[in-house]
Amino acid sequence: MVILQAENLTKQYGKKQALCQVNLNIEENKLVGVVGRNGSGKTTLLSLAAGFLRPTEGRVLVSGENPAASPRAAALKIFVDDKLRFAPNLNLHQCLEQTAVFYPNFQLKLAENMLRYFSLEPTAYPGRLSKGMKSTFFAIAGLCARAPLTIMDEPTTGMDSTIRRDFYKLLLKDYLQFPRTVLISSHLLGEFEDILEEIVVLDQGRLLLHQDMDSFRQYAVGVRGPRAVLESSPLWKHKLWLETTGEGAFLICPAQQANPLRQDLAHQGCAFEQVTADQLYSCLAAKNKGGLEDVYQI
Amino acid sequence: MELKGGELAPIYVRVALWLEEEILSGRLPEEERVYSQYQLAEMFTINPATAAKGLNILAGEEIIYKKRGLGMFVAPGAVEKARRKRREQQLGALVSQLVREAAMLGVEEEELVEIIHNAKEGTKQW
Repeated sequence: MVILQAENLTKQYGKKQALCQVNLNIEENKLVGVVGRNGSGKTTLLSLAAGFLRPTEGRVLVSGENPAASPRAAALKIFVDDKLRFAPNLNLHQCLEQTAVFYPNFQLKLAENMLRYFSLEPTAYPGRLSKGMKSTFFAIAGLCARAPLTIMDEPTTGMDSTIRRDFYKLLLKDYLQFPRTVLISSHLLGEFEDILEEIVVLDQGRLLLHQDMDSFRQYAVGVRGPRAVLESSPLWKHKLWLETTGEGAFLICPAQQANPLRQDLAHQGCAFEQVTADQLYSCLAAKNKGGLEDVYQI
Repeated sequence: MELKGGELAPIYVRVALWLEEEILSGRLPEEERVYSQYQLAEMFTINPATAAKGLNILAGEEIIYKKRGLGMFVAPGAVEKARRKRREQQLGALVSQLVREAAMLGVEEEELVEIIHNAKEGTKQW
């Protein structure tokens, strides 16, 4: 069952096209990562899905209804980012109680346990928390709401690495307890790609791809070995990424070109490596194929 | 828990390899219930769909089988099947690597055999 549908979704701000002709179908009960450079349209897409923005062209549907107009659709989704959206006079516990009013699946006891785990005082005020603690609190509220469509726009902003690790584990744990669709955008794909089932890549307002993680990762392989060997192999012209360390080199290239050459290259001292989604995404996102050296060619 | 297999294989393949090792070592005996995709997901902090893929690899090789409504179980004869498969794939690949490394270091066959022999003696002391 499709929980989120975007049809020719376009959002224009004056002359700037933030999102252009995006067609996307996200099914229920999936952990989906949304990645893209700054300005690629991630927040715009997620805000449209949450019904916070109206499309310039096309439409977005949550469970078949317009999230900006339908109370039913609105109750099915929750949007989490780093912005304070609670009334300023409510303390943490009161914020949670308020959230529970709008979300029938809300787990108050679980939320209280999470507050305790992250050393957040229920009587503290969200506006007075540090950046990282704010994000942590909003993430707790969002997770415990158990909304069928949970949208998280860079939820880990400001969180330190230990808290981030705990957050991904809690996200997975609660997803296993209560399956739902979580759309999560982040610049730190490498940290949590293992818990994701699908990936959506945006580039300059357009949908570059939407695939399951394993297919995405298997598009390319990493090959590590002596630079001379790699340079003279047919792989060289297909490379998407290159790193050199002295006489050695590491390149990433499409699996289709690389796999037939595996045995041959192995005999010449090259090893194949699995490419992480993060590495592959970096290849796709790299705007210039030249290196930073070019910056210093003054 | 961390999955071994380093950078060589996709996660779901490493899950399958780990399960195989549990079976080969006897920690998961034949006819015993195997971890579910959800349990594996929690243990290794991975997506349950990925864990399910790993389970399916083993099911395809008939090392585990599905009992409707009850989950996956270690198949009778699984240890033998797994051994045979590992011998061909893993051991073969490891030996090729060993031979290559030895060649690069200029280690002759006789010396290599002795190194292997010593390594084996070493493990006996465990």
